[in-house]
Amino acid sequence: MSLKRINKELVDLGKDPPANCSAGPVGDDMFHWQATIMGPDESPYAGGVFFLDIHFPADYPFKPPKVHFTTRIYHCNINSNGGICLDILKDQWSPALTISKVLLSICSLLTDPNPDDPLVPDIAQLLKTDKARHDSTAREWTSKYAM
Amino acid sequence: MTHPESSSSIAHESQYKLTERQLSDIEAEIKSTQPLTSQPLPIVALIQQYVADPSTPAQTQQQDSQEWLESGFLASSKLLSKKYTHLRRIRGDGNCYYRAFLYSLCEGLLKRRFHVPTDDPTDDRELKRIRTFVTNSLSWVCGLGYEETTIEMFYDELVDLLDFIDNLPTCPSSPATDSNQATRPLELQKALDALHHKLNEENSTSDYCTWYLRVLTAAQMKSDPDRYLPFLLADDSSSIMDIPTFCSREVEPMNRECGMVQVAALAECFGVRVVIEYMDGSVVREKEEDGSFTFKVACHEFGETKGEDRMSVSLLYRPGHYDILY
Repeated sequence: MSLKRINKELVDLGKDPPANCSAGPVGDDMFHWQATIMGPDESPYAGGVFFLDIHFPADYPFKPPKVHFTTRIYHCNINSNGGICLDILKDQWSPALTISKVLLSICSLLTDPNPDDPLVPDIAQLLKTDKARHDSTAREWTSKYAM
Repeated sequence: MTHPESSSSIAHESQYKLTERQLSDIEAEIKSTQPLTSQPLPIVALIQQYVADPSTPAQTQQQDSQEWLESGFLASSKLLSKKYTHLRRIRGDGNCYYRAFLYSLCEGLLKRRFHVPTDDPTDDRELKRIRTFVTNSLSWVCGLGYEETTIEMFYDELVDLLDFIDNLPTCPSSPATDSNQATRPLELQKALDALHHKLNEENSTSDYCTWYLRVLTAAQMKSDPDRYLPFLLADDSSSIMDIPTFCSREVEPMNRECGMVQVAALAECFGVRVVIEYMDGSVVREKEEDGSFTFKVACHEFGETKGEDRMSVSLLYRPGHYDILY
């Protein structure tokens, strides 16, 4: 039944793709997808294309998909392994959510980082104390890794 | 800042992974040792659970009036054994209330098709009523903000389950035995077995329907905030969670245990009676008219408590868990 749901999401993504995002299976394995997110215009990630890896667990959609960035990104809620600190990917996941909604939430996270619940405290600290320097480093990383 | 990633971030992540692994180990253990729903067990199994515990001495020879001196759990289990005959255990995965409700409701609807326990020819009235409610529920929940594309699969599964119950044969297929009343219990048992099998498949009907019951619970709360908001007030009235936030945190995620408000909302949206025996270690002592005392397990009813013809679901509550009583 998980497969039925994943197939449905793929069809729905084709019909109504979320803005600035795309996603689909990597090969024949429907449980392994790749996604891309375009850096939002109003963020220091603008112009970058970020790749993400998505693994659906066998009991999807009752358990959240495992999503991580494969493109390096300078962000206080995303660490060097690409791990993302996002509540809906952990204990706030619900079967009513979809990959499309997850990608949109990650886009919002790029526009509005959450330095109060950081995965990388040093970046969060800099964002709070010197936003200009934070943004310039983020832009630097974007052009270095995501363009 | 050449190394933006501090060691604390790595520690944070590995701690998270460790916790996650531990949780999934516990989950796997529960999955391998507890079926979604057990076969019915004689109620004595409940008593044995507390007698077997060396910290609760068995004092079976004592008189009833002194039972309150014993361990509250042992005393409660004995009291319940006078009122019920069987117990069906539900997997302890946080979904037990919804799953117990689903199983007990379906089983009750199926039994009524076989005219058990009554012999009323209009016994399928409740099945019709509940089918109508469920069939119309998709537009209701979508009107409350749920997206049809994500809800549909779960909705379909519950509709199919009710169809399955409606279509299970109540008469033997061979016409020669058609009029033989003695075969009816056999056919009922076959039908109950088929339902039990269907509701015990992993990652299938039971989970899909259980989650749809969560959606219906949330929809019920959202459709009548005046009724349900007072339940959400914190004891000190300092933090009030609004209903949509409560639903997305406490109702919609799978495996989230449920409290009184979810119990009431689900019972009320189906319009059925939910009777819960609260076994929390204490027994209630009631004074009778003649001055003597009787002991009871605290029992509360939710949902439709009037109409006698309405479906009724009897559950056993022990802290953090629900099972089905018969």
